Amino acid sequence: MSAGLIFVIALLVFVAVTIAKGVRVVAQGEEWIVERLGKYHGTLKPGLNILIPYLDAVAYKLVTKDIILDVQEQEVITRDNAVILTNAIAFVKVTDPVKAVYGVTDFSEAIRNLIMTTLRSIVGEMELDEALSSRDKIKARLRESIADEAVDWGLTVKSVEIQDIKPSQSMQRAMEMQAAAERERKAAVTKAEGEKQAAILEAEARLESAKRDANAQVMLAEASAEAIRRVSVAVGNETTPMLYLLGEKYIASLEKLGQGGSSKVVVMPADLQETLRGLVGKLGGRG
Amino acid sequence: MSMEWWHWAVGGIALILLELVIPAFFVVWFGLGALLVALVALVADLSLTAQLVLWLLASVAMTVLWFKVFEHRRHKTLSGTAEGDVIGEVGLLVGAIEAYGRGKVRFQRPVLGADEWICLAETAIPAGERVRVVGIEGSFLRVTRA
Repeated sequence: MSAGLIFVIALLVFVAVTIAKGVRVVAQGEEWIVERLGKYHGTLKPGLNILIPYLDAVAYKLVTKDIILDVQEQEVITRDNAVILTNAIAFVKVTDPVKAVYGVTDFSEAIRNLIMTTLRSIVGEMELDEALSSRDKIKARLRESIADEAVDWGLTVKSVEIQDIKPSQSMQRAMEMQAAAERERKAAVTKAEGEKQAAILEAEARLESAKRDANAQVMLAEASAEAIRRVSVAVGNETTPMLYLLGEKYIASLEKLGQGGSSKVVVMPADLQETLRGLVGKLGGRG
Repeated sequence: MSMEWWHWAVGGIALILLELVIPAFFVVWFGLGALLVALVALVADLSLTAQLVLWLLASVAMTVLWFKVFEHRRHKTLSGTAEGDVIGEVGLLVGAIEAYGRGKVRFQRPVLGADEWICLAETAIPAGERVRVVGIEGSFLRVTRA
């Protein structure tokens, strides 16, 4: 082989390698950071790009599509000392590739950690019930709080969504117990109220019946007073019918005494007529 | 060792096919160069060195030519790129900006996942003005009067 041929072959290899290293195809959705002798030189956009081999080197290849960041589940303590588990998902886009690679060592990890800590501090300022029911508020505050750091890292946080926000196992148990106790308390109160009501009603019933009994007695007394009054009016000053009536009753009661089994000794006044007259006389004296 | 014209032709076709496998846009020019050499070798009797030099020159010339033409390329879409197609978007300023201050801009359709953004500007712009996005800085948009 002649020297010329060898030189041409060497030249060919050199040119081929140079062109191979110098031509770069960047896919859509990616951007490459080029360093010239160790310093940032430029950013390669999607499409065909030419570098100067031996001088330039592609230092970083960045994805400029939206990045889905899964923020892992973590325990957060609320202001009222309840433990809740929460995780989130964030959509982040690299809007400044240079800041993203030179501003922070690993922007995905950085923003993930930032979201985790910020979420913890936001939820830590809330009461348990508030935290469980105000996702939108948490989302808005989260986006606001990480905005400043995101600028330094060349990232745009497009959205942060709270995936799960739930009380921890023990907290859930406690909440269930609390709910059960609340029900039991209500049941006890309801029962006691029922009993109270019943007692009151019973007492009222007793009161009512006593009132009626009293009324009845009064009416009975009035009726017998009226009866006596009518009898005494009917009798007037005549003593004979009076005597007759009393005598009849007297004899009837003697008969009853005689029939009774307990006592057989009956003491009878000797002068029946006088006894009755004495009674009537008193009555007559009054009437 | 002598190179027949068909050696060049087969080699050229092989190189062009290789382009499909190698994700770099340069092998195809060497393949086309080889085909050109095959064509020349068919009509003229050249030494191997001359053939190689011709191949080299043809390949490099075509590569350079392609890039001269390709230099004026246009991006068909900006979606997926860092700044995306947000730059140049016109929105309405709903919160006034003081000089070097922050305001609020609203867009007709959501931009980067939200239709309202906090924006920055170097000059004071009263609310109600139309503003144009000139840059994205994290969660803020840099705007100028449209």
